[in-house]
Amino acid sequence: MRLVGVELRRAFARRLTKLVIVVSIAGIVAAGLAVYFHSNRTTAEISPAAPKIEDVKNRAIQDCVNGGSLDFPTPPTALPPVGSAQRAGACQNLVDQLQFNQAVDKRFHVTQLADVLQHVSAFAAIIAWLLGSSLVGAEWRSGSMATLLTWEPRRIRVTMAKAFAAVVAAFLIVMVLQGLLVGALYPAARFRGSTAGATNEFWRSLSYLGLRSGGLAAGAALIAFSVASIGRSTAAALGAGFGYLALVEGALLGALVPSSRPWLIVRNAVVFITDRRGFDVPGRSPEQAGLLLLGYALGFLLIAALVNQRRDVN
Amino acid sequence: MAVIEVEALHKEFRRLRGGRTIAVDGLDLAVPYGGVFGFLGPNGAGKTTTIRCALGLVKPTAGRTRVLDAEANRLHTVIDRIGSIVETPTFFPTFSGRRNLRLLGRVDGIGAAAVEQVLERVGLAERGDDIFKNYSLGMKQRLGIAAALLREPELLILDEPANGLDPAGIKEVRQLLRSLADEGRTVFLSSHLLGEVQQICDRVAILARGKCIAQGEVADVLSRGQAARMVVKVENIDGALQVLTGAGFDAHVERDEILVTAPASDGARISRTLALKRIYVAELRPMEVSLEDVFLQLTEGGS
Repeated sequence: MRLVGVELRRAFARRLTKLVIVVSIAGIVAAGLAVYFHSNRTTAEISPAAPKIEDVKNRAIQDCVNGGSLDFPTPPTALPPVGSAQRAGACQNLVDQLQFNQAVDKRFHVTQLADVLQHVSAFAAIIAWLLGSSLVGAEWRSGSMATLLTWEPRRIRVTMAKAFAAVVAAFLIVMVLQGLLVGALYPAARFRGSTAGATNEFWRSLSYLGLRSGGLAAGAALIAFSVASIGRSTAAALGAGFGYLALVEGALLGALVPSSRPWLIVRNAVVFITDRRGFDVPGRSPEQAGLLLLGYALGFLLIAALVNQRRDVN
Repeated sequence: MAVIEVEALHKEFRRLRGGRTIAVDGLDLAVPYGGVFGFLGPNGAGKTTTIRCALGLVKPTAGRTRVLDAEANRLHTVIDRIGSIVETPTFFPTFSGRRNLRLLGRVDGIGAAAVEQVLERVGLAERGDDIFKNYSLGMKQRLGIAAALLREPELLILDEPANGLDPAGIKEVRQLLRSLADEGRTVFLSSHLLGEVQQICDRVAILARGKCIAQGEVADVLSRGQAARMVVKVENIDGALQVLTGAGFDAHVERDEILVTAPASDGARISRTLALKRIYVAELRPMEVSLEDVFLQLTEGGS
């Protein structure tokens, strides 16, 4: 436990960690201010827009019924075939779920926080990847890992303690930053926008989304930590991570091997974060996606621990 | 009983482009408890690899190491009794020396007071808050020694601890290591500074090409290096050389001295031989053999 405590202290004392926190907070403050001032619409400005909402909705339903190209996201298998009796009802339900009023009403609605957190979760995962890989990569680069191993020669224990620190640090940082983000955006909704829909259920759902986003960041930190441990370099983990996601998942597997899609990290991460069964991976529940991602992260950690156990430290 | 035992240690490194480098080749070594043990050898002799094997950083290709009676896979049971430096000490570059030591200390529950004590002992107390990466090489070495002392270890394994230190620092380290040995600790010292080693070590081992070519007490190793010689100074060098070689001595001239291969007990015979020919010695003394001479002779012979 002492080693874990030391690693956590080290993780939070690092310059990169502090820099990430400071830059993120600056971004959050800027976002809060920007949204606050952008949301400066009076009720009078909104009223003339109200009829437009119905127009837009009707047009969208008609497009949907006719099987036209929809300019809003739809689950690929969710709608009955064009021309079937159920099509119109399904289109009506679908469009009702979409918040067209917010598309026309430019004020900031508190219910938009869910969209914000969903989108921010990708940035959170990237930040976590950077922190996780750098936590151990910098140690290998500086050589301080060798010094530590002369104090605690049980390498599995050292690897696990550091991995735990990376996961906890990433999770805590992302959770706190999300809290700050919500705190920074809420005044815009409260004083210059709308708090309609801010029910207990909404806040519970938002908290759950925040936890999932923190969990995703923790997983990203763990995978990055493991890759950096294997490559003994931060750059290796950054290069491998972005290379894999962009080239292997994005271009090769995703496009050329459709059967691989249910097992790809990004698609499962989307299912996990959006909390929509079947979204991006047909048939996959968010819980299943989360467990799959956890399995990947633990698999990487196991490989890293075994590699570190066997390799020489020069 | 040995504090460090190395048996038939063999370590090969594979090169990226094929082939292998043998760093340690069947090394046997026994370091007794107490005193300062010098571990000498030219660059690439395998000293650091041997230390890395002993500390569990590198896995031997064959053979085994035991430290404080613990095999390599049980090293963690005795690690809190060992302090070590391997090559240039490395710590977190952006943390201060003090913070680095405190973090290390926390791993073993060692408090801030002990950190201050070791910083004071190595002369870094006033620079303890400086960032490690801004330290000079000598300061890094001092911090490494401080880290090694933090656990109050009974065995210190130090790889070139005086590297980068100025003469005053070298002297301080010499005194520190001697005092640690006098407290009953064992100091295993790998060094290139043979003069220093000769001054503070009780025993030495000399490595060449991964093998131990000499091991024992310093005096024994010195006597093993080369035959005893006497230095003779006279006014008539050519005449004296002729007399000595005529009397059966193995002698030759180096600079303005005659070196005679003979033990100190032959001093009277040398003096009498010259005096009988009316050549009177101005100076007659046994030639001092330095560890450096022995080291060079043994390692060059070995290579």
